[in-house]
Amino acid sequence: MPIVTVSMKEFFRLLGEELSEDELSSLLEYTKVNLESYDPDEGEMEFEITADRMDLVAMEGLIRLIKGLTERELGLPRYPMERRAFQVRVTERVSKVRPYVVAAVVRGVDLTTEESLISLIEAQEKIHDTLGRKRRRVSIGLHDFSKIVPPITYDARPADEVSFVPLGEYAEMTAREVLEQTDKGREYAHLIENPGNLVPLILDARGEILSLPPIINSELTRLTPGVRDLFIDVTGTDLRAISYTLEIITSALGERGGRIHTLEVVYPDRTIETPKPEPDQLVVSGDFVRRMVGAPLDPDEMIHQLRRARLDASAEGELLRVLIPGFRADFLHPVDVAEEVATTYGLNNLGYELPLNVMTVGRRHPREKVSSLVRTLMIGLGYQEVLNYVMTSKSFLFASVGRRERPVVEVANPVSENYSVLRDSLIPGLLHFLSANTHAKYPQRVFEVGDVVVVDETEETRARDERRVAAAYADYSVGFEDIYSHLKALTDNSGMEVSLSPHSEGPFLDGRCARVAIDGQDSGVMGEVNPDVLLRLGITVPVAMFEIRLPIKEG
Amino acid sequence: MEISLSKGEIELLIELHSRGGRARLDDLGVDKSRAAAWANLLREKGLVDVRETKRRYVILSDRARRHLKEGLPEEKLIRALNRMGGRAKLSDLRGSLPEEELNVALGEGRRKGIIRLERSDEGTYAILIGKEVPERAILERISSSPVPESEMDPSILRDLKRRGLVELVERTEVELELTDLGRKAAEGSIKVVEEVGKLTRDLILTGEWKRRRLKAYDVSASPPVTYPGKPHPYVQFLEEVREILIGMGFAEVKSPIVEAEFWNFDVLFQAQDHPAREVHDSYQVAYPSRGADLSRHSDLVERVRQTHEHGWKTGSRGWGYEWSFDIARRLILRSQTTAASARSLASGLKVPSKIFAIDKVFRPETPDRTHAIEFHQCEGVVLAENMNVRHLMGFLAEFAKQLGFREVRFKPAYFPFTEPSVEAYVKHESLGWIEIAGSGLFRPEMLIPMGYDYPKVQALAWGIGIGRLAMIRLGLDDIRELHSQNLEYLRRAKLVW
Repeated sequence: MPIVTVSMKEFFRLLGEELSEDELSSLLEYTKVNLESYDPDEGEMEFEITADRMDLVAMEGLIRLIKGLTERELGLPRYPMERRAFQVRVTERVSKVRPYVVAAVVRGVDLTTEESLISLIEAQEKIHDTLGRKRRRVSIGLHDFSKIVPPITYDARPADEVSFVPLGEYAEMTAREVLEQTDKGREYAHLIENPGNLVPLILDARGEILSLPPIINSELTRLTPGVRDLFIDVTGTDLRAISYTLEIITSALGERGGRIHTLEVVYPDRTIETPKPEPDQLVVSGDFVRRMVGAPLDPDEMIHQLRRARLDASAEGELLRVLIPGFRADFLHPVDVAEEVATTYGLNNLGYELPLNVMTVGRRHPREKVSSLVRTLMIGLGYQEVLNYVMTSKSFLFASVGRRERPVVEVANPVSENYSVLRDSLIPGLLHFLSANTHAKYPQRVFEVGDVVVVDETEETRARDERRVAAAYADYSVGFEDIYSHLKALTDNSGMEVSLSPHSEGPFLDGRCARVAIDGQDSGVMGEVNPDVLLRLGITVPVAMFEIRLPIKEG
Repeated sequence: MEISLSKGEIELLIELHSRGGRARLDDLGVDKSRAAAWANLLREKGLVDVRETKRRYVILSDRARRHLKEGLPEEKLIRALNRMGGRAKLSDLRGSLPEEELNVALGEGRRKGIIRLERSDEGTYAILIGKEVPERAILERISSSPVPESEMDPSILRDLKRRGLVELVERTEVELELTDLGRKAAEGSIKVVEEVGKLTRDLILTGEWKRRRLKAYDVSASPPVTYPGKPHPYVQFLEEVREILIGMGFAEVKSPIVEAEFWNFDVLFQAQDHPAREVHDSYQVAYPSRGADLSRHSDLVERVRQTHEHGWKTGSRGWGYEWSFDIARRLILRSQTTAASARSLASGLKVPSKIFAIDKVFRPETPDRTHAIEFHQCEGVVLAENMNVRHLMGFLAEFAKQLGFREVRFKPAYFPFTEPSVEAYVKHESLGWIEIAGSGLFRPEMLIPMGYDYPKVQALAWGIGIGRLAMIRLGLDDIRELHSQNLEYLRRAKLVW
């Protein structure tokens, strides 16, 4: 979840009042936001926000929300707006390079302090990293509008044929040089899939390059403290996501007194106006909201709570017409309105209730039933239960314990080689456990009941979990007969029929190893561990082991 | 006067007397493992005096033990020279024994008159002139039992120390001497009655136990340690949670560890470009390389596709992107137990039903004190008519109470597949408010494609990172200890209920 760091001074200046840590925390109980830190010494606060509320990534969004909760301001924020200021033309050929752009101009913004500019740029970077999927899906360009002559063109041109001074550089470079020689260029060049070396560009009426998205802006339009008028472009691969982003940025600037100018974005096949001039509507029945919330709220109460959440609504009888601003992308279904009412009303104010009429019968899964019985018997036989990881490595499973390699489930993105496959047997884990405990007093009797994963192409997910039990008995003198006696005790006392047949398999000694059949089904293996394996593991006493699949009737 | 002694004490007393009333404990011909305890008891009864003296002993070093087995360097040199006719060039000897041993052998050999070196134009020759290696006998003697330092010739000892063949250790020596009383008891001038320690079958059957004196035990003494067969404390805690949920009427469900993204994400209405689905948040399966076979679920797959794309008949707008079947059938390791709930719900549960799952989930985290690549989740679902947020919180509060937490608070939260979503916090006596569960009502985009009559039928769901709760309960501060590889910890661990 993203963390938003803000300057307390700037935050409380824009909010219009100062709040203590307790006051702020209790207000946030009505939201999904957590106050992570409140540090007057550093003059900073940190908020943790959720992925569905990226409007709160900007400090201005948080302030807008808190003003609603304290009822300083209610309902939809109404920022002054002028429509269709000019056009942004999108060419046919840029659609293959980076298909979508939306844009806006915001004039008369209060960005006088260094802090205000920093917070804007931090919000931009947070969006790039989350919603923007590291700029692939969404990338934002912020420009000083006074340096720009509209209209604007979004075009793709050959990388060698265009040049400009990129932000933070002093000399003009070709687009190719920008991609190959600047830090940002090297970091993000892979995001441009360029048939014929075309790069996406935002240009003004003079043909000046304003930006090479998603890489870098031009030095020409650099923001400096005191900038009043901004041009914002958002480009990307997902029109919904970039439109939402533009709404977040323009509404944040609206909170700073900006006047929003919508633009016409002219695609070859259609024209759209961005940002959206009107809020979306969602019609919800009051009855549905009450059903979800579980409290007898009337439509007026619901409307009041929605206005505190900075939405708006009007009631026509039992029907609520809810207005949703563009910077909220979390309304897919009426249930999302119900949640807004419930949380703003306050979950802890709703009270809770355990429904007594939901009569159902509880039961253990058959796999756990058998496991529990087996655990009881193993404990009765004097074995200590252990718990090992399912994820492990091939060398742990095979070479290190003298087992012959066989196919196991492998992951494509292991964090470390030690955790890169799923175990196909419990035996290696128990042997390594004994190896880690050679200093502990013998006899050592340990067992594990757990899942192994067996590759099986006939299964829906090409693999199958098997619940097994394995036991290891290590002592100065212990052998096949001892472990067999315990296996027999386990099976005799749980109604299983056990039979053995001669077998040869690592890590066991030839001639002292057997296949185990339970109720006539091949189910496992038993034997004395080969001393070569023991010594390699640093174990100097004999070890006898068994492992069997538990017979479970599921369903 | 009469003295009561155990059989062992009597044995020791007689043995000591037969050796003139004074001897080292180690020299007595009695059960060595018990003799010290008997001696102490006799001292307490005033029958013997016990004197402890510290003495230094000479023992063999590891190197000396190896030399005894493989031969001392000078012995190896003698053997090599014998093979070569009693005379060899040094350069020819290099192959016969390791460089550093050869140097030792030449030095020692000259010092002890075993060889002589002769230089000529062709090089230096070693010539065998003696065969005695006095160290062997000495080392063998030390090897059979440690020799008191005082019994060794100081110059030989110095020599052995210089060669790193012996070490000195200090040992406590116990010497026993009969007191007057002890002597009288041993000679029979004071009556000794034999006490019985353990009752035996024989003593009982013969009635002998009535005639003998049964020794009174020191009940304040510690008994020998016993390690019982025992459940793993964490598994036992999971069993407790299982028992609570079964008690609340929940039936346990399962799902496979290797799972299709469809069940882990798509069916939960988690968009295919949701960050949780990226490689750093779930494990992709490389082998088996074929995707899941979802042909048995093709109707559901189609409804899920439409719901993602435009909302289908759910009343939702959907996510508005082109849904990919190839992504849905990709295999991953189960990253949330909600996959088990989803499979169970999709199988068509009757209303009402209550289900739960306790199982491992897998995430590509870098393991440290608070992160594990595999950990347990506990998930519960209540499927019933006319459920709402207050009922959800009611179940959470009851579950928390069963786990031993009295105070509970709720906070709005975001989870992709629940709406409203609620986080539950409980008050812990020393840790304060801790987050215990994420929860919510399953979204219509999840329930309606599975065939449930939403909003009449609702599903309350919650998930708990049960490992964290177990750590608090078991007093652990490192999540890796839940899979402890330390047998002594497990043997000592208390089972907490």
